Amino acid sequence: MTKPTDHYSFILLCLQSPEDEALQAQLASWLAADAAHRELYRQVCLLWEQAPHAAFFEEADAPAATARFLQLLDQTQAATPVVPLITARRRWWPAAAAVLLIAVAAGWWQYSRTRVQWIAKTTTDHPDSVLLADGSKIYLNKQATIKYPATFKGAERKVELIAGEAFFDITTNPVYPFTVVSGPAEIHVLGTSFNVKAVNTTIQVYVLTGSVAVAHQQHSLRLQAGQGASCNTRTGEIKVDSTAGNNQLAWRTRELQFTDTSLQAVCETLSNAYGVTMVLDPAISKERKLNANFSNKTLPDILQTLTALYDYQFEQLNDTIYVHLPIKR
Amino acid sequence: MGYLSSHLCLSDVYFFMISGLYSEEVLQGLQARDRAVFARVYEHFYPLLFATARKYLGEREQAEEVVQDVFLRLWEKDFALEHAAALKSYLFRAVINQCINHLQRNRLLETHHNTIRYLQEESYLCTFLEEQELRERIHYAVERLPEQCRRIFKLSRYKGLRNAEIAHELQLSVKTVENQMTIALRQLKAALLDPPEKPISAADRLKLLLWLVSV
Repeated sequence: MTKPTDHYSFILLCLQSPEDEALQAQLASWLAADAAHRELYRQVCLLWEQAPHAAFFEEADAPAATARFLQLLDQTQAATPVVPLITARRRWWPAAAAVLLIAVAAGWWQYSRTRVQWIAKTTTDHPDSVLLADGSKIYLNKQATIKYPATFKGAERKVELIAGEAFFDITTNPVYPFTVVSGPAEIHVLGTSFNVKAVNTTIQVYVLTGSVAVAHQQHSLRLQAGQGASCNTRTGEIKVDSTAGNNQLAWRTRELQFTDTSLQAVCETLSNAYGVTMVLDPAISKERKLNANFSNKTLPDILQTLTALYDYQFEQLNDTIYVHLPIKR
Repeated sequence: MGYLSSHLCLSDVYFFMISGLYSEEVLQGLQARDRAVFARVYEHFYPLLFATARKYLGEREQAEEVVQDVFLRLWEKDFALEHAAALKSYLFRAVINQCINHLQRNRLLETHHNTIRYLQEESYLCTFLEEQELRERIHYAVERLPEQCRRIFKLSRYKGLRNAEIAHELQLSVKTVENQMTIALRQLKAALLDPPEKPISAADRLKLLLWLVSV
């Protein structure tokens, strides 16, 4: 330790070297010399001793926690009227309840439709984006349809992904949670960005920042940044998708990263990112690994690189790419 | 209280917190199950309550669940508070009780027996709440330190590293680490323990303004 230059560095030195007897004796006489010294020492000691306990506050992300609490609150509210229906004894009750629920839902839907003006947007061959009334942005991939209100009314912000894939960049507002409805599934968010892809009976969600909750009937799963999940809309099963990664956003970002990725997986990612079909020659190994990064590259560029890396031919014909062994001449 | 239901940005929420959190309106908002009031009260008290629960429960998720439970009960059941100022200690006690339940449920009662005995003593709870509030203020003050100073202070006091270890990890000289630690201590003391110099804070101004409007 170097020689202290003022009271603070002297106290720091004493606090950090309790085993140094000469120093502690020096401290004792310094403290005895002046009441102001004792007061300063008492205060600095208090801060010094309490500071390690302040570390727990680092884990407390109040806005995010509030978002999670509000989701719970909403689920609680939703659950309340359902309870008496479930506890009723007769067997025809569930059916009647379902009919009633559908009727109420239909009524509510009709009611909300008359109140809120909805706008539908569909993309065909080109991606597009939508700016919502609250400043949130939705980027639509090719062949996607979204329905959103011209202005948000009521206690929640809600949009509907009818088909295809979209990336959502939602502005934070703890009081008005944001919900993406896709078929029977719902994704509850607060302020975050994430990708949703609805194809047939599968809904894939991947979170880039923040966190979301994917809900389908009684199932619900919380996802953090960097996590993905898929929801089967027929069975209602929601499971974590460990293969999900930033490559799922490549259709928009044009950033692709392959680390020990099998050819099979590379082809799936490319077909998703560039909206093409990949056809693999059955004679080639699907397991050969690729390590490569592509940033802002066009599909022909990537295919050229792949041709050089693998000794296969990647040939594009319209929207289909054929991968085959080189033809020997 | 019209500004409760309108759109507010975060700094507005903060002003609202310090100016009116202990008002009767907030209490009425809670009793009327006003979602926005719940959100703001939750956000305001979350760090204090979470850190308290986290001290006794091993995992972050458990600690968060305890805070959620306390507020969900508040939402589901009627509660009678005599005065709005009692809200903080009411929530604090509820979190402590919930932690005790949690520890008992997990059959960790014996290992935590001493902790629990302390937790049920009135005088200890008062001191503990004060300590927790000081720790919360320390946390915010640490977050406001200059970047390098903050990082060094956290490694030292949060992670328990020695000066030489910090110097090695951050590729700095031990002298720099010592200097930064001294700066941190001096700034923390100035921010937390020295009397404020400002004659009237923004919050007080807002309070005054609201009072003038209401008169």
